[in-house]
Amino acid sequence: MIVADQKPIEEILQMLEPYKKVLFLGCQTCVAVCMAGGEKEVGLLAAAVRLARKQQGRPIEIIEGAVKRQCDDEFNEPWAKTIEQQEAVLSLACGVGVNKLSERFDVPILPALNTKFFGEVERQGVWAEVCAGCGNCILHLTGGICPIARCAKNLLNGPCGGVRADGTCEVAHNGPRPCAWVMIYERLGKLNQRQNIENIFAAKDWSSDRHGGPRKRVREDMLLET
Amino acid sequence: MSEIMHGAVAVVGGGIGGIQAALDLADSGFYVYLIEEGPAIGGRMAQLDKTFPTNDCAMCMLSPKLVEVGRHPNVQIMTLASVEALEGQPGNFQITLRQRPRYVDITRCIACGRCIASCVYQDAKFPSEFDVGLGKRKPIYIPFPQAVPLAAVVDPQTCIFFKSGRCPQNCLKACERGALDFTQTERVLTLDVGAVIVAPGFEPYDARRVGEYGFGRYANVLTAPQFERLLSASGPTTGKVLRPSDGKAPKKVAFIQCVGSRDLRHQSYCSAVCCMYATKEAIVAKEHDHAIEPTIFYIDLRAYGKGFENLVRRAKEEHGVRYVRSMISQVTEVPETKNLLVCYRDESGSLREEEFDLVVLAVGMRPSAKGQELARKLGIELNEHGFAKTSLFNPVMSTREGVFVTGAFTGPKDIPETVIQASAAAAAVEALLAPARGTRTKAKQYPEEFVSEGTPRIGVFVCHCGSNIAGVVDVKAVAEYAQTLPGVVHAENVLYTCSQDNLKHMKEVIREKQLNRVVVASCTPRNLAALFQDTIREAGLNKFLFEMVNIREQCSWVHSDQPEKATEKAKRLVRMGVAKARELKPLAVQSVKVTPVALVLGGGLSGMVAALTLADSGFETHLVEKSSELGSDLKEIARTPEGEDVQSLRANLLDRVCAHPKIRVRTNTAVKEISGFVGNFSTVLHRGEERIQHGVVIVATEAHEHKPNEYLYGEDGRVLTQRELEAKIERSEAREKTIVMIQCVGRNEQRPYCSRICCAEALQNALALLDQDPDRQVYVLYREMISYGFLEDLYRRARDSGVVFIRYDEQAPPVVRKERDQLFVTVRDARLRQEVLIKPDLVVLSTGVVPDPYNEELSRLLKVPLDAYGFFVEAHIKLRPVDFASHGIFLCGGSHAPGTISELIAKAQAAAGRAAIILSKEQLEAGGIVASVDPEKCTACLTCVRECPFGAVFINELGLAEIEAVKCQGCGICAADCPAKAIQLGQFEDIQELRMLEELFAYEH
Repeated sequence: MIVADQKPIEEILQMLEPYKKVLFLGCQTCVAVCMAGGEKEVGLLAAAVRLARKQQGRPIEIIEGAVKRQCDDEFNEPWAKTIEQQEAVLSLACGVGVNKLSERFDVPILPALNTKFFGEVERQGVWAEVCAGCGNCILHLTGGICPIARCAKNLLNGPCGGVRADGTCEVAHNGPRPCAWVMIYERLGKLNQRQNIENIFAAKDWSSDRHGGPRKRVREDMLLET
Repeated sequence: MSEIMHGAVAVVGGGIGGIQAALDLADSGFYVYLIEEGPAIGGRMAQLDKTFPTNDCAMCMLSPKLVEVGRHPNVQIMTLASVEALEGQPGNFQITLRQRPRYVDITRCIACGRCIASCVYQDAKFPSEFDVGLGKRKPIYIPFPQAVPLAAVVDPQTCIFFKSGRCPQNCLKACERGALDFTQTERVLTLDVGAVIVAPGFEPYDARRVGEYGFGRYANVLTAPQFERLLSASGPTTGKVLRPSDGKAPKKVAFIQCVGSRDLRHQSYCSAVCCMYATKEAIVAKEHDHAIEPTIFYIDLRAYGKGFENLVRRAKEEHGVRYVRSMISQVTEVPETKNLLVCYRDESGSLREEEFDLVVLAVGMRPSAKGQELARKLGIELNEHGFAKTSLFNPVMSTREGVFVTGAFTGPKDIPETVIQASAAAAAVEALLAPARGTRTKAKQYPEEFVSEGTPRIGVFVCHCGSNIAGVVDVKAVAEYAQTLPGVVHAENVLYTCSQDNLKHMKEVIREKQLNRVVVASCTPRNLAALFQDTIREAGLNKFLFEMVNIREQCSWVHSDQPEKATEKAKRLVRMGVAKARELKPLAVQSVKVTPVALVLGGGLSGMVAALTLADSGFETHLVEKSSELGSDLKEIARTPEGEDVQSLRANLLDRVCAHPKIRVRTNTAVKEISGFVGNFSTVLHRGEERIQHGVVIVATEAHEHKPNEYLYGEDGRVLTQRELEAKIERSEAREKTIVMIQCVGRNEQRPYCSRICCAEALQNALALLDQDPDRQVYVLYREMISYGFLEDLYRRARDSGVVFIRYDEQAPPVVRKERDQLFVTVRDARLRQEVLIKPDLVVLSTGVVPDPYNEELSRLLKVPLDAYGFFVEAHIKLRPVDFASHGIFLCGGSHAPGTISELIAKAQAAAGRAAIILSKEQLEAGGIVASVDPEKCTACLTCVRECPFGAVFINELGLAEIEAVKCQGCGICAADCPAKAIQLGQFEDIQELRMLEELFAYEH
């Protein structure tokens, strides 16, 4: 799922500065699950903004709502009339939702979240990045552990000299984390595939990643005639 | 057994044990007379501030139980009553009671306190029993704020009217309810009951008798029960720790352990709870006042129960409580400062004198004088210590058939053990009186509910509560104001909303004006909400169409000096209540049929006892054991430390289980899957894919002796465990002359808990070895001797018989080595601070117990929790010790916590008794205040599934979260946390709460 973080309230207030009539629109899919932009967060954020603006002596009129998936027009459509009556929309969806609404409506769509990565639920309240969406998967060779996402240097032939004696990575700005290549080594051992580690990966073709520009996927057979 | 069988039971003693037994019995179809000597139920637990090992508030746990038993339709509480005689036989007893007059009619008294305020004694001057003499009361008083029954009582010993006959009796005039009646006289009555449960509890040891500590002479020497009251927010200092001599905050506080216990001049036994309550009091004192420096002087630190070890560790590490191992021979007072000098031996062995500001005596438990008299009147025998005599294998049975004994009356005990025994006694009564179940209880019939949809028609009743509310709040103005609120079609002010005539009037108004919502503005909902809900139900309304507004405790009583503002506040509170009422919805309560069959998992001692108890109570029981035979946990044990024959117990249980027509045994059988909920479980067994339908589950797996991998165990045949030694002694094969026993083997950071039973096993084996051959040397190397309760006598006997006890420090465990086939044990004697070398012929290891590894699978299958060490976690460590949080699933056995055979039997009986409450009902009520999921909004994020403490939420076939109403307890966690706002909790919906808040903060209309 896509994992996002709510922006600091100060930044949100700053974005809303010019507006007095705003729709706060949540998204009930990924960002609801990662507890950043579902209907509950919409309610909490709206209450906080109302209080702050009231305190500033510049009350704001907020309508609260949430749609099933902001990345699909059909789900947004029931809100079209409301959106058009607003001075702006604060979207609590991921960046995809913000883009989607911006394509459809001529109203400023403001992002309430910082969209971060797609990740797994490590345990309730903790999300971790384990896939980087590089477009060229090699997980079958690395024991199901992705070195692109989980190695700080995206190394294909690890580990590097930065692995510590306890198997953690030297890059620790988000707290100590295990070296992806140590994990791969151990996992391959469990799967009796240790020999994989001896494969030397050639330089990766990054054109399938974002480095090749914005990506698009088309499935011809599913296209509808219009 | 009599041919006549009464479905009523007398429970004598209104402490936590008596209350639990009464509730269990009343909930499973028996009428209960709860007989209490004092003016209110609650017992010793009501006086406690906190409880160990969780340091939870005692009253917060107890109070709901008090309320529950107080308004239970099948419990009659009889206060100020004592037993005179018991005649007849099991099933048909006649119990004669003597009930002293209260001089207050509890049906009229509303505990307003006006009588007390008007008493000719302007100041309270008599020592309050509840505050253990630290606080004062008047001759007319309310025992404590949460008392049940909540009514005043007159003490004729101190009341001037009774003493001199000359008193203006202001109280009579002050009472607006006419509740006082000085003409009441003592009455004697005889009741027909089928059985009796005796739970009179204990008495703290009288510290005056331990003269060397100066209690009663030195102002700043308190007993622990007194200190408990000092800590309590409802106590004489409202929770401030202050010295009696000068009212100043003490800095250094000494706790002296074993006051009156483990002392042949007083009581030979260990009182079992003092080490832990002192630890608790020390921590709580420190929490109340950071400057306090507590020191606990002790002999052995007996932290042997579940979670105890952890509490002591926290006391030392987090709270800085100082523990000093030294008996205290004397306390002397410094006359100028009233400080106290305590003389002790420090860790280095030298004598020291230290000055303290306050000394707390950890007094032990002794059998109460009233309990002794009660025993005589009931014709039951006492043991040599004056506690009720029971057999080890029948821990709640007295010497008179049909009379059961529980709690501290049978020996020193903490609260969970008391609760366990209470449930065990209730279970034993159920088994005895099974045919009479339901013959004396009544179930209430209600009219059919009328559909109350459509616009709200709200009725508001504003209570005067005599002058309690009306004396401050202008109730007429509040009622007139209520009349103007949207949706209100009727509003009035009433003298006493809770009076019988008003309840009748309320029902008439509901019918006449076709009300579909009712708001009562009066006192706390704690006591009376259920009464009003019942009333509107009698009038045909759904009971959830009711809202209560507290304008007494939260308004008139706290704002008595500002009547105008209080009236405004009352209006606002009523406005909030009405706003919520407009949004109330009727909630459906469904009936779910119960399958009256039990499944017991684990065929050890506990499983067999639980199955027999249930089967004797008339319920079909499946006993499932995964190994090839029943009772294998008992096979290695020849006898108990007290000398009882365990093998004949095992044989007897096996015979009874196998012969019982209601028990079906399956061995070599494991559970494959369990589904369903309380009342309706469905279990598939591995063997033959057999499916069993049942209403309850009892998890009864046992714990096992830990097999060590240290001290040459398994390498040298002369190194045994205690159980192996016991078998060897029993076979008369022990010939060795020098034997060393090492306690707490393998007890480390991963397994820090005390296994509770090993010290007694060691004592038992040591004594047996010396019995066989007095010319032996037996050494016991220990950390703390855990010979709690009557086991202390065994410890004393072992010392007298010449067993050498050497204490070692946890950090310096003994070392065992072998040189040229000779075993050597070296240990550093912590007392002598010297190495001791022993050349034993035999080394015996006390290795403790570990839970059954099968627990992990059961935990997954049943969705019930395990602790860090693999023991099951009960619903509540104090008051629900044999229940899981998930309804319908119960636990007992060593896999709940280690225990002696006697303790395990009581726990198994208790679990069976608790389970029988469900099985005895034809139907269970489900629904009401439960949470539900809006499938349109649910995004299946699993938050609720992960969070629900009751395992009530699951992902249904549509891939969305769904809540099983039967399992839901209405806690609201899921509703609060759902990120998609897809969950609402009935009666506490967002819209209902928000409407109240809007009214609260709205500007005046």
